[in-house]
Amino acid sequence: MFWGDVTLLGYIPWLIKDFVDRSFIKKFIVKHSMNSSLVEKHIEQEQELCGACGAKVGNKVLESALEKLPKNVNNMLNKIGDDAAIVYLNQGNHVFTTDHLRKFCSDPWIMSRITAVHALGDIWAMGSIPLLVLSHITIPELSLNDQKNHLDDIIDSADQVFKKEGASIIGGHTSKGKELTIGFTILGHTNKNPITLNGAQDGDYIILTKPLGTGIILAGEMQGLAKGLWIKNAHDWMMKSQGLISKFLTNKVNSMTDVTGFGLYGHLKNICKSSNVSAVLSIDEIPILEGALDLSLKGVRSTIFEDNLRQANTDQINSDNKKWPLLFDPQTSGGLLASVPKKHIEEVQSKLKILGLSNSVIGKFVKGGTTISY
Amino acid sequence: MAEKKLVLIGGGHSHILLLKKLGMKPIKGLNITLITPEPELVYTGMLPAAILGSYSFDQINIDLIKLSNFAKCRIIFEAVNKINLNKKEIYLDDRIPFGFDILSIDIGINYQLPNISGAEKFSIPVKPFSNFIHNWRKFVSNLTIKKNIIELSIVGAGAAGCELALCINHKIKSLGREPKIYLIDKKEIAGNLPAKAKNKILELLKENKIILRNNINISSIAKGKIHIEDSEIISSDLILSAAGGKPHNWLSETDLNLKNGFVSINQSLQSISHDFVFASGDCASIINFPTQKAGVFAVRAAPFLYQNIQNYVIKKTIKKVQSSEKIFTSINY
Ligand SMILES: Cc1cc2nc3c(=O)[nH]c(=O)nc-3n(C[C@H](O)[C@H](O)[C@H](O)COP(=O)(O)OP(=O)(O)OC[C@H]3O[C@@H](n4cnc5c(N)ncnc54)[C@H](O)[C@@H]3O)c2cc1C
Repeated sequence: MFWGDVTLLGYIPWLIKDFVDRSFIKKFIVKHSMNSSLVEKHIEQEQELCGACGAKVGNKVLESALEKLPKNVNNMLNKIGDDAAIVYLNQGNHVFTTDHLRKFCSDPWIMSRITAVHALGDIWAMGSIPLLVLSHITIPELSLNDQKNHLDDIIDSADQVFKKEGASIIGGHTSKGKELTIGFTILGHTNKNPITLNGAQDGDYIILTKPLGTGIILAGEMQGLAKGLWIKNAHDWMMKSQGLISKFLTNKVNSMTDVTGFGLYGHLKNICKSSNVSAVLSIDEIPILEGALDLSLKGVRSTIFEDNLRQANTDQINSDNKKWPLLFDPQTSGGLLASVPKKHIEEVQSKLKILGLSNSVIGKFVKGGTTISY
Repeated sequence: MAEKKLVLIGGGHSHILLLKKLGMKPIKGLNITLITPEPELVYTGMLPAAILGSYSFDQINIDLIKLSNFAKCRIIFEAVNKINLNKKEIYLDDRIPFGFDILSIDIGINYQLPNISGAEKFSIPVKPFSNFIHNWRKFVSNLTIKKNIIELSIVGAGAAGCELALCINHKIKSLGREPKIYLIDKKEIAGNLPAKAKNKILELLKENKIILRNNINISSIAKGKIHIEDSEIISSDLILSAAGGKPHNWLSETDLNLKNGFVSINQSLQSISHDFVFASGDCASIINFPTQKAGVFAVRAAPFLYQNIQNYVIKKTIKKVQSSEKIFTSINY
């Protein structure tokens, strides 16, 4: 018995805690579980696969996954399953983008959802709405049954995300490969001029619509240092659609982008350069994911961190604030980063509060110089 | 050979050990998924120690993501509340039906006070532990407000309730306050425990000045108040429920053979109605074999669960299975 005064409780048979001690818990401290080994369950392969057509997933498997997609789609003249989709485009401006992610969690359903939201980020950042989607999926060598299950899950999960935004998956390609990779190519539309990096004005507020830290959390998971709670919370944020926020922001921002691989600093720098303004960040106001600072203080960094830092090498990097590494943390499915003129800031701030973001205003743009200070 | 899909419902005390074992010694041809609502399991045996402060609440959590990564197991954060055993499918909100070949259930029990108005809103069940711990920590951090006597009620005076009463009593004292703790049961205090244990625990409770209220019928619970049928009111800063440990309702909507709501299993931990369904821990009862509901049994069942799932998988392919009748008997030595 290990806990002092109440030792006598050992008289209760089910409280005999011989099996209960710290060593029990220690058994569950799993060291270093590299992500790449997660669910790669290879079955024995009778014959080497050809990387070209051999990489294609059997017709039946694919058909059954696609079966659940709607047959008739807006902006499409033929039906899913033909050699290529025949599409017609509305008047206005079209935006076209692609993105893919490599396996970073054990549940393909979640991964697909996050990838869909991540890919939509570019569309939303332009103030556009998505119309048509092509999927590109690589799945590892699993048994046929599993391939089917995984594909069904992946397509279903992504389809739910796209449908909610008014878009449809109309085709794609699926192949077998070493690890799960999911990607989407999206065509979007806007009647107005798309919102670009160019347009931020002196005096505009800088807003960010999701907390930073997904790179550090995922790196922490690979090193066995991130808590399950942090990982799950990061997944939940990464799955959050920004369609509503984007629509709301469209006529209230001067410039907008989404924060992804280059980290907040890199993407903010892009706005500064295009708009010829400087950014003054209130670093304490920047929202970060639970656990990200803990991991950062332990020295956990995403592999892309160094690249991001190097990109900024001509700038004076200020490391006074312990949060500074988060500025260079690459984001998966990161938030929208926008410049909002003073006349809209109150409205924007209170709307984002309603949507669950207690602080979204993270700084201000000032005239000229294209520097970032914090 | 097609892989068999093993789905584990609930990251409970049997399943965490099963996963650990599966990580160390994978069973060939098995594809594993764990479906459970939370990414952590509070290790029950250490909960009292954490309340007392000997360990931090962080130290008593078992991380289910790390564990499932280790076991090469897919993890899905959902609560299961519908399965179809004929189709071998699980239905989750927002997802397409999830197929399985073998099922293992380790979902524990609920501690919600049944049929007492206000109970859901104004009392905190001890399970799920994560929710209880969240509320307990909030309560403790609010104790900074000047108030010397801390009144607290625990409804349900089984082993868990008695243990909680003593721990909380000790903790409040260590915070320099005067605890006034009510332990309330509709029957006897520590009534289910063997005589010797019961006497000892009653002695302890008295020694610690826990206020014991047996044979009490609660009529309703309001904010900070427990209304008793004879119109007495017990006021409390916090009301905890360690009573009404009930099996999960959704089990009764499946075709599984149940006894009093618990999954009836044989000594090899298989459902007596469906041999591809295993169950262990608090949610299951071995037929003709009295065991208590306690973490220790859930933990000790794990090696047998591993063994028998392995046997089941082998049986299906090489048609030879070692009789596992005897294996389980050693659990309740
Ligand atoms: C205050 C207290 C102290 C205790 N102390 C001790 C002790 O010292 N020693 C001892 O042996 N026992 C103790 N017990 C009893 C012990 O907690 C239980 O016997 C033990 O937790 C049972 O383990 P289990 O695996 O059956 O369920 P649990 O440990 O409760 O695990 C159930 C798991 O299933 C998940 N789940 C729940 N519903 C669903 C669903 N619908 N779908 C999917 N997943 C679901 C839960 O999130 C959880 O992860 C104590 C109980 C209490 C209340």
